[in-house]
Amino acid sequence: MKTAARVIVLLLVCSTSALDLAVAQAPNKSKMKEPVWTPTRDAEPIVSAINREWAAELKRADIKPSARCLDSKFLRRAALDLTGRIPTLPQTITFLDDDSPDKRRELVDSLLGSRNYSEHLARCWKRLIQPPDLTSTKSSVDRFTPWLADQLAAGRGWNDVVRELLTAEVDLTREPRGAFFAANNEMAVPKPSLLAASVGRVFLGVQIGCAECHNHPFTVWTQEDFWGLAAFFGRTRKVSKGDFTLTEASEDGKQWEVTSITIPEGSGKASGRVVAARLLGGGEPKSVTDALRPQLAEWLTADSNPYFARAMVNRLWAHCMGRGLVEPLDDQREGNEPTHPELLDLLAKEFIASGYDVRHLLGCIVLSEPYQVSAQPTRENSDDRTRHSHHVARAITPDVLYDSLSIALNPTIVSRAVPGTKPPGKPMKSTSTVQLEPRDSFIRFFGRASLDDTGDVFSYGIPQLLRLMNDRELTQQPPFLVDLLKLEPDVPRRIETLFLIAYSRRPSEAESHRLRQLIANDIESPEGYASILWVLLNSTEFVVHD
Amino acid sequence: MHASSLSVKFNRRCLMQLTAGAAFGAAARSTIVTAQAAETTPRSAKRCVLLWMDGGQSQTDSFDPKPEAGSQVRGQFAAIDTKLPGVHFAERFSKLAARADQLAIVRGMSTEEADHGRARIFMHTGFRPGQGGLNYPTLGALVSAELGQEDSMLPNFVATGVPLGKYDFVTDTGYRGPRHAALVHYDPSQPLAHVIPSVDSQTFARRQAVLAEINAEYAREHARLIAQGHRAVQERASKLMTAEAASAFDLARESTEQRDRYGKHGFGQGCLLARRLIEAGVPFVEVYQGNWDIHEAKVVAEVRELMPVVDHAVVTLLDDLRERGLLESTLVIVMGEFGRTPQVNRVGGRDHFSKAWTTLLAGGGLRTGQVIGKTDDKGAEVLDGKVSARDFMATICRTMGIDHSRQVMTPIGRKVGIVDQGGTPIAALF
Repeated sequence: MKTAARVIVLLLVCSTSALDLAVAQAPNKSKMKEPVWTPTRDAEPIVSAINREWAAELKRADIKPSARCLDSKFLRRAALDLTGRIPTLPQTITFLDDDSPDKRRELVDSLLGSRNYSEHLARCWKRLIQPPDLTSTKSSVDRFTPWLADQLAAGRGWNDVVRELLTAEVDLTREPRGAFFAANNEMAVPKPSLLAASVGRVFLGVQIGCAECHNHPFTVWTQEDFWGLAAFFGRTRKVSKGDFTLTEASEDGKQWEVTSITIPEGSGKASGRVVAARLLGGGEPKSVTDALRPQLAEWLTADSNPYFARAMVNRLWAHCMGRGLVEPLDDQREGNEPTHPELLDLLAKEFIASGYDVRHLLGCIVLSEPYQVSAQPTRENSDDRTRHSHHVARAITPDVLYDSLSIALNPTIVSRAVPGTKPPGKPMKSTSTVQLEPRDSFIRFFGRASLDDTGDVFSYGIPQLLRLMNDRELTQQPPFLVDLLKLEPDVPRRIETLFLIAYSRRPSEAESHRLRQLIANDIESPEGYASILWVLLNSTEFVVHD
Repeated sequence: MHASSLSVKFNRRCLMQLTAGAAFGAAARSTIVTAQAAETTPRSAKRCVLLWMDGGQSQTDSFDPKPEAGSQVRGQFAAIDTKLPGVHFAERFSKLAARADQLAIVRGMSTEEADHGRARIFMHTGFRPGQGGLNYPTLGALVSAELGQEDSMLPNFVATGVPLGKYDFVTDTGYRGPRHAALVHYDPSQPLAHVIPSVDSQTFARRQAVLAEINAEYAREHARLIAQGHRAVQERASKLMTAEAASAFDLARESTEQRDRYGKHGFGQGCLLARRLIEAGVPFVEVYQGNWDIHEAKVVAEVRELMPVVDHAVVTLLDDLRERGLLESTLVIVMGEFGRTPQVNRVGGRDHFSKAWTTLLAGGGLRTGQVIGKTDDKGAEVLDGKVSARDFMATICRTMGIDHSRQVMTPIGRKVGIVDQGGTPIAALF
């Protein structure tokens, strides 16, 4: 959010049914200025174009979309998608009580300007490049998230970032820029076949990996295509046994005379065949003697590349919308057409024109009408799975669940003056906080989700829900409740605060009444409020992104 | 505490609840057969244990040795005789060799995926990953959906063992949905995690009652599909919190003898847990054992020690199930995602190989004591009795009394076969 000061000003001005309490981040943090992002391109024409294509497709199918979602839902969605966590209470109150007609756009700009935005996106990408079988995480992969977050925060173009990842001449075990090679290695040696398959899956959105061993019946890709691409990594090696710096220099120091790779054993009938470096869809390296990876990167990130921009745009769309325009996300090919071909085209063009600006693209998607429809299907559109007539609800990912629980269990109470009486009191920092286990072990338990997971199925199983219900750490009485009781005398308002924390909305009277049942006669004991928080955090509304 | 009386008592109660028709001896079994004779074969198994050899076990170093081949194929393990005349196993599997008459040794496995990630999905689902743009259910989810009890106090699919990577290949239920997801109980030596509430039972009951109301209202007003998915899992999670259900997972209720019998090793204890759960009516248990990925000599040395441990645990499981009258109704599968190259590589290991490899089947009313399929003298090709992934899935379905040719409707409204088109059960087994 912009600043804590704005919250207080707003609360003073606002005299309606709002709370007398606000829960803010730790005071030292609230003073920190969030970096401000000023959009470099106008989102409006693109948003209109998205809306037009979306509406046209619905009209073709004679389907009416669900209603526009409420402000509280938009806030929660945007915070989850763009910052990987539920909004904080100050964010929520400021947004809900803001009368500005342009407040959704202002919110999106402020979320996209935050550090949480770049870290969330970077974490999603780390999960995407890190293969499931990577047993010992190399420190380069561990350091990848903060590095990528820095690049995204600085507004670097996606093409530029990918070029750097593919051409890095750094220690693959330690340097974050070597992470892509660390993630695709066998015994610390970069493996061309893994690299080719990953480049296809992650950066190009094509399933070329199947062609490693055979010509796949559904795709146009042949083994020649696969190994031709792999050959671009054929020279890449670490400098020496003890030096993990990536290099393409030949071991004997001589100039390279060939670009080819020999298909290794175990790759089907083609094993042993020699294949020259060749780009997907044709095109050979311009120079035999020059390093091959820069030549590959140049082709891959060129504006004219038919896959690169579309693959990223499709992933970003799926990230926000819950389903890609092409599904599976890594299966762009003839015969697997996008649900909205013109829309994919225009997004890809805009992505290129913006200098591969990830933030701009996300902003356009989140401000579009299809993003803002309710997740509640109508009677007539409930069967629709491809036209975004209603929002795709899904469970929040483990990373998002982790950060959201952390926010919901550890707010710091700030007393707020009744308008016209006293100035606001000092922020009260809770004497203690709920310490969550380290992120990595939490993620191991809740399962790794990647940008590849889309759809409207509930992804957690019995063990995860058991843990949310009964884990000591997660279900202990959170210390902030004592402060809440101290500073807010009114029971319904205490309940309202808990709702705003967990759901980013105020309760209906019926809901408030229902939860009131959990508070026994002793309304000053935190136990009942702990029960309410337990119910909220274990409810569907908390664990889903809708 | 004496384990057996408790477990018997528990099982009877459980049976009544589950009406799962777990076959405890002939009497119980015959009633089930009568009840279901019309739709399933009388011999069909009701339970399945999948012993998953992750990383890909070498067929040459286990159940399809090539003692006549050159040393680069033979490897370091000598071949030994088995109970079946003329059939050899590698030396580190002597106990299974002594019970080869109780095994169906499927030596003609020939599949198309030789990448761990893809092959795990392929051999768990019978469909190539990404085929037709769908996610397919794993065997466990399939059995849970086809044979599981929706209101069971116990999950219909449990996976155990500590994986090296992520468990997605086990827990992804594909189009079958989250109700059929595996309960992953990583460490069988521990009691089930997170089944005791952090507040007294009265308070917990009050909380749950309000939670149910809130969730029901959400399901009415909002995203229905996801709400149903969430509620289904949450209800079953709550069922697991009952003492009876949780005790099925508690190995401390087994006698020390019984625990030692399986071997003091994660895999052995996993097999013991599988037996306990099978006995309590869980239709599908997967026990995970990693480390078979022998690319180099160093790993072969480790696997050398692993082999007898696995040999012992599998045999103990088969013996124990038989002693309890459960083997006939329980299919036991020993398999990984693929085999290994018949040629030893330059660094003394074997690489991925999916063209000709071996799986074991036991119990389940199958005709055991036979070898299915034959590889050439170098182990490079299947000469006859080729079994594809879809054939293998069809075989398991047939064993479990599931019509493999049936089509089911996916949530996205597409009809899809339980087994990929063209899958044919191995006739010789039935």
